[in-house]
Amino acid sequence: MESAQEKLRSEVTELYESRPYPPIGTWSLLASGIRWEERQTLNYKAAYAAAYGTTAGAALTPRILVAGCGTFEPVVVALANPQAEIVAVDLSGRSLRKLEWNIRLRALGSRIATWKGDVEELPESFGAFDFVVASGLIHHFPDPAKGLHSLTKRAGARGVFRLMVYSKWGRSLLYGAKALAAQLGVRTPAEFRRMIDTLPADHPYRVYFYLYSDARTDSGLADGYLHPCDRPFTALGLKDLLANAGIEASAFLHAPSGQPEAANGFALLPEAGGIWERLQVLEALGELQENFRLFARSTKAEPVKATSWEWNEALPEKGRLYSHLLGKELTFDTSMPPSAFSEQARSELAKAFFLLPGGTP
Amino acid sequence: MNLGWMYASDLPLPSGLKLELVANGIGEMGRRRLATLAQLLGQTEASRVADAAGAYELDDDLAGEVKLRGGVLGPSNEIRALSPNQWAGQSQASSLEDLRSRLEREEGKILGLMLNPDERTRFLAFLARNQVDPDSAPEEIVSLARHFFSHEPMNVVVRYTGPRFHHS
Repeated sequence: MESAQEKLRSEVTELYESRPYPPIGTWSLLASGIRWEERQTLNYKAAYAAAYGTTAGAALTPRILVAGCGTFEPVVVALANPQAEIVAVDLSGRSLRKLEWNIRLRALGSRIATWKGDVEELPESFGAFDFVVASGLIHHFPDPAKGLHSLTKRAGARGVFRLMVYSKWGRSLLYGAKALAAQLGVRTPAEFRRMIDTLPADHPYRVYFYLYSDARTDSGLADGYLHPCDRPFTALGLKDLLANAGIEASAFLHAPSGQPEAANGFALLPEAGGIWERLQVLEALGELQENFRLFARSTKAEPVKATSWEWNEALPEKGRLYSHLLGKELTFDTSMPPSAFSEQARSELAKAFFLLPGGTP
Repeated sequence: MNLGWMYASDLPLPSGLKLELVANGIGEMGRRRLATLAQLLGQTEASRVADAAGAYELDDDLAGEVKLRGGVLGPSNEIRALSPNQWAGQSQASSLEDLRSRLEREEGKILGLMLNPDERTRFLAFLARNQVDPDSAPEEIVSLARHFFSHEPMNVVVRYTGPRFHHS
């Protein structure tokens, strides 16, 4: 007999088989390009540098696992990590076929391998990974703690992580509408849109629905509002989840208003209150405005000694780029030594683009 | 239309029944957010921080997006439900969960909702458009009303039958 968890897994598979996500149009993407900020926050060296304060000791040809990859993310990961070897895993064969088309189109087939199945059952033969990317996956595991453990055990000694996890408070209006839909027996995107139209025009569920850009497509709407297994986290819940899995956050990839220190502008937290307590304040006040996005590392990993500076290879040589993390544009020139910059400029570049000390391990 | 769960606000409540002020779903979210802050900061500081955080307003781009699609925002593009300075005002109302627990303890029962004529018209239209049987059980109707109403707390009509009420 099928267990409750197996049943949920079947329902999740069915969701993505019928509506692969994200619903990326190949040609529209070619036209619009891929945002630089995505590359920065999907870059292995950036995650490593955030974890260890240096790029010394980082793998030269990193092995990257993209878990719950969907139809497109591994392509962005490949562009963000030009030397990497990537394994992309998803439950949905139809999503993977769309991904494979995108991979072939960009001639990335030699660097990205796909595997269909549950990441918890990824064969040992795939080996250990330097960087594990799980964007929008952990909250969809029937048992998030077990699911996260299945990812951490695949990371090598100095493996690093890039996670995106749903925020309970950030999505509370979505969950309200989802609960109403469940009560009304709404099952399809078309029925859901009809239900939204029956709410008053100023109803917060309806306003949020209009702001939820994914809801413009059936796949996005189903992923957000009709998902059979969706377990969001509060900041403190996520803190516990990570701690139990033996990993810790090394950087939050939120806009400035969602960075932990932004909480100091609202409340005087006791000294004992750490980054997660500050995030919880921001989350409750609605200041986070997005899901949790973070780099993480194992709590047991040894520190790395740095001897010089190194620039992030995912960046162009010089120029002016907008930083989502700082909320402003920065100018930089990699031909200039770090000593040519002021302390503040170095600190901003480190935070925005993960320009950090490097050298020989 | 004679719906057993509907009580008109312009008529006296039949004897033996009682009105309970219950937060709607949106108000409940605010109460919970405030409670989350209170766990970290203490009740007084949480209320001060929520008040100081002020209104939740969308920037012009997002507000334009909402309006273009037919949505309506408050003055200054506020989403009142998300405004921290509104949360304290929800505290006089119970949560529906708390009311249910109390009714279970005291052998009470939800009988329906008290609505004014405007609320009645809008809520019945909502039920009809979603093909909800208007003769559904009062509990189910109140659960739906909790989602539908997003501004003021609901007036839930209950009857207590437990010993406390027989002897008090």
